[in-house]
Amino acid sequence: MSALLEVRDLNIGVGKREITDVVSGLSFSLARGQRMGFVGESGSGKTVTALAIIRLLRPPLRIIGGSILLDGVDLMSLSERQMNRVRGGRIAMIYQDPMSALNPVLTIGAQISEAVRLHSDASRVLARAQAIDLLGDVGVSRPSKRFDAYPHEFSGGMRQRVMIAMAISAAPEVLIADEPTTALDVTTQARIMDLLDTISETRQIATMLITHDLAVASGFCDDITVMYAGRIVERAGVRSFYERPVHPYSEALLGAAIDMTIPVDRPITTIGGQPPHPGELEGSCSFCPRCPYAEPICLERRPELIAVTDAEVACHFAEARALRQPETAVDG
Amino acid sequence: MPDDIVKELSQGAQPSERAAHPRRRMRGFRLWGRVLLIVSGAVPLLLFLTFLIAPLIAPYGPNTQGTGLPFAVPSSAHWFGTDELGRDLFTRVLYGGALSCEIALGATAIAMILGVLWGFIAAMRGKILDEVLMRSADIVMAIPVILLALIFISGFGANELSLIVVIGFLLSPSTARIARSVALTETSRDYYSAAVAYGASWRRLILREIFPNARQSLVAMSVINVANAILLEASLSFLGLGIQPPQDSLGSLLQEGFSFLYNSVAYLFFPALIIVILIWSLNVFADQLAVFSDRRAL
Amino acid sequence: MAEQTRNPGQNGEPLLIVEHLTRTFRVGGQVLRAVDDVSFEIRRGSTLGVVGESGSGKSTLARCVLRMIPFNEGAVIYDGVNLSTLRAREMRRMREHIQVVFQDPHGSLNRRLSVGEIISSPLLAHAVGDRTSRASKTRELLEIVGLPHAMIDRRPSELSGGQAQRVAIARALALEPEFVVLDEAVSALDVSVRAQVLNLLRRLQDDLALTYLFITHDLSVARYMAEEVVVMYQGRFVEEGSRSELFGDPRHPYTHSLMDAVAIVNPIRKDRRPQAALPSDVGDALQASGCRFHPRCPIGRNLPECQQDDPSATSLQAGHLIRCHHPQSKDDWRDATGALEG
Repeated sequence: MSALLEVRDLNIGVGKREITDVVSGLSFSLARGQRMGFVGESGSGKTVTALAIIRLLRPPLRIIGGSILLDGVDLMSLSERQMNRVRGGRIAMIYQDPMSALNPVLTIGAQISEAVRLHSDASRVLARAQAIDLLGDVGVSRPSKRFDAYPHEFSGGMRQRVMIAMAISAAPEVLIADEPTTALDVTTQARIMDLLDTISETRQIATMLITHDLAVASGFCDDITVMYAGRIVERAGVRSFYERPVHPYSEALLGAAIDMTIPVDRPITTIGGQPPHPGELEGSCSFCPRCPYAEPICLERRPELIAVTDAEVACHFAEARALRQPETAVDG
Repeated sequence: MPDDIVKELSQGAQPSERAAHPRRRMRGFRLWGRVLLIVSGAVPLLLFLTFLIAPLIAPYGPNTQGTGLPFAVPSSAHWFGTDELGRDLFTRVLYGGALSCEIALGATAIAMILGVLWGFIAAMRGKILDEVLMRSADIVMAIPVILLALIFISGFGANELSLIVVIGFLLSPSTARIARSVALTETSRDYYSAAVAYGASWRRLILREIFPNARQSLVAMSVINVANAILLEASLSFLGLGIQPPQDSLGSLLQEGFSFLYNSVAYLFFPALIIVILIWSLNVFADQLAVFSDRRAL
Repeated sequence: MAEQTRNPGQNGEPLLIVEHLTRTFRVGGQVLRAVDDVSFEIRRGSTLGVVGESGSGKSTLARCVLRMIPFNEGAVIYDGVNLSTLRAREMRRMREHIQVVFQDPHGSLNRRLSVGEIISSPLLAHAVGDRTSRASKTRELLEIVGLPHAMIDRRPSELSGGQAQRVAIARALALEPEFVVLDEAVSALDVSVRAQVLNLLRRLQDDLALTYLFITHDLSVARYMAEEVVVMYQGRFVEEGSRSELFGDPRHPYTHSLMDAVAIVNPIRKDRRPQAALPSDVGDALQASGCRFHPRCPIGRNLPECQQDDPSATSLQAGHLIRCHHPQSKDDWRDATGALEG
């Protein structure tokens, strides 16, 4: 499968005169219909990467290197007007907080219709019909009645559905979902993920799911990309990631996840400390200070992303670690 | 510094979908806004300072008659010309401006103290007291300014102090409204609930929790109040309800200038110009303050 | 398996008793029962978890217990004292014992104050000690929550979510309370930070002999933190029991659906059961009759008793209470919904 979206060596920096790297050397590709999870802590660069892809980065953040190819076309080379057509039309994005993405003084029907008409020359009547269809597709009951409702009349889950409807209205090929369920209740979360599942399946939409919740990612994604301090530290298929995480950070993330099976009689294994600030630890592995397996070499050289069995990992000890037996996370 | 921005942006801050033509215009806007802020703040400040040192820089006394021919055209000896009694208009405008500003600042002080207390108490106590306080604010705002001024002045006379009190009182209900809404915003925040939860007293809640966070809005409000106070003073004095001779204020000068309009345009023009400049720049300043505090706000 | 108690010497008497707590609102013409006849007890040194989604009334419950909002019926009895009988000044003094940590770490800190000022605010408010002793207490509190002393002069805007929440916890501990209400205290945090803060909370509970009311929408977190759990739905509790009872043998259909919804960190779950169980998102809170949950309940949706009679509390076994006409065991539930239980 040829890649639909390909990011090569993306570098994003912040600052006016002095530029500090926020994301470095990021490369990945997304095939048609593929679902990739981007996991990592806050500040790892996941959201910034997503914004860079659709070129919504605002100063002082900006792309300082690399390329972003959609079907072979470098998005960086497009004019703003061309990019406007790509946004929503070919790459759509949904956010964590649906309330801030919806205009509170317009009905949701008006907003969805607007989205439809932005990317097609549908008449108002036709756009309205399409909007009602979309509302039905995303599971809003009595869509023709709900068309005239305002965002504040909806619950969080409903608003998220409306946002999804707007996002898919122009039949995009790629969907970037930035923490779409973090603000939702557990049962609503499950249903929204099911909705995303159905939609990406039936419409063959490649999905980039950004989340810090490994449980959500596990249920939805084909592949997992782990980001730490602006770099990819591991990339693996979902099953091998969960059964045999290679990078120490991946292992720690899985260990810190709380679900219904964790033992209740002892502390949860966590990663001590904080992620580094942008620009710190340039010449070494950025995870080193928090890594339980650190060795002197980790401070001296930054590990490159290399391929091992079933995964790509940026760790000096990747090969050795990949050969270990699957085990539960180390007690911390 | 970059950390905050990165943190803010990666903790789910929402970018605007309408990012059309972002970069160039953004930069231009910011610069223009900053220039505007500085200029609109500097102008009234310079004027205030000038009025403050009026006695030092005035070329003549405010009531010295016969310094030149009556209704003389502006010249190097009399920058604004002279009035019907040969008094130097520049001097009179300086002293008049000083008095107007004094009144405006005094009235603003009253309006702020009264209005903020009014609004904060309404917000914090809620329910019945809130209703009572806000309805009375509505009542005061519904009474015609002139009527209220007349009533007051008939009792206390038309002088500086009366004006300060009346104008202050007139401006307080709208201040109260804003203070109340700001206070309501802050009291709905978690940190306020936390303070209630650890048992903070009323005084502490107002001074330590609400006030510092309301500061920006209140500063903007006070700037607007000064502008409104200047306008009110000018109006009342123009109508003869305010400052009387031998004192001068911008409003009273306006009145005199108006009656001698066909003799000397400068008489009316300069006080009017000063009023316009003051009010306009203060309003722009308040606006820019709001824009800038929004941008920096957390 | 025997329930492990963490404070063997502390248990016994209940520290907090809530009886028939009810709080209603008037919306339009109708009465909305945000909290409806809720009763529970929390033993000294233990944690009660209250689990519910939005609209369940759990946050309203927290604020009623803290007496931050009034309630219409019922009583909150802390350490033998009925809080409703206290006057304002006495209640303020009582607040030294009962503290709270809110959900939004940054929202709960006054952004104009420094960390040191925030933590010492409760001490100032109750005129505890002098400047020196407050300063040293502040440093002590920072240590307790695992933050460096250097943080004292920082502002909330310079802190991460996890750090801000720790500051909030330090503030809550300043007056040496016995009882802390944790209202979604970790829900806004990253999963990795969540684990850190939960570990901290448990350690504090052991070290300082604290009693917690832990409110959350996340069943897994409730299971980890609480020995006793109450599940709420639209203002009512629907099931209540010890950790082993509730999670080992859940009975209420809502509890079952919550458990189904909680994703397990394991991709095998990917081929999981259909969510046909709950046909709509949280329903209307103002519905008139019958069991609150019945419109969304795959079992009781069409059963007359569920449509008409509001079930009262029944005891399945000692300590395991439920409000349901047709409790379902795990097997029953699986059969009824074609669900695969994890």
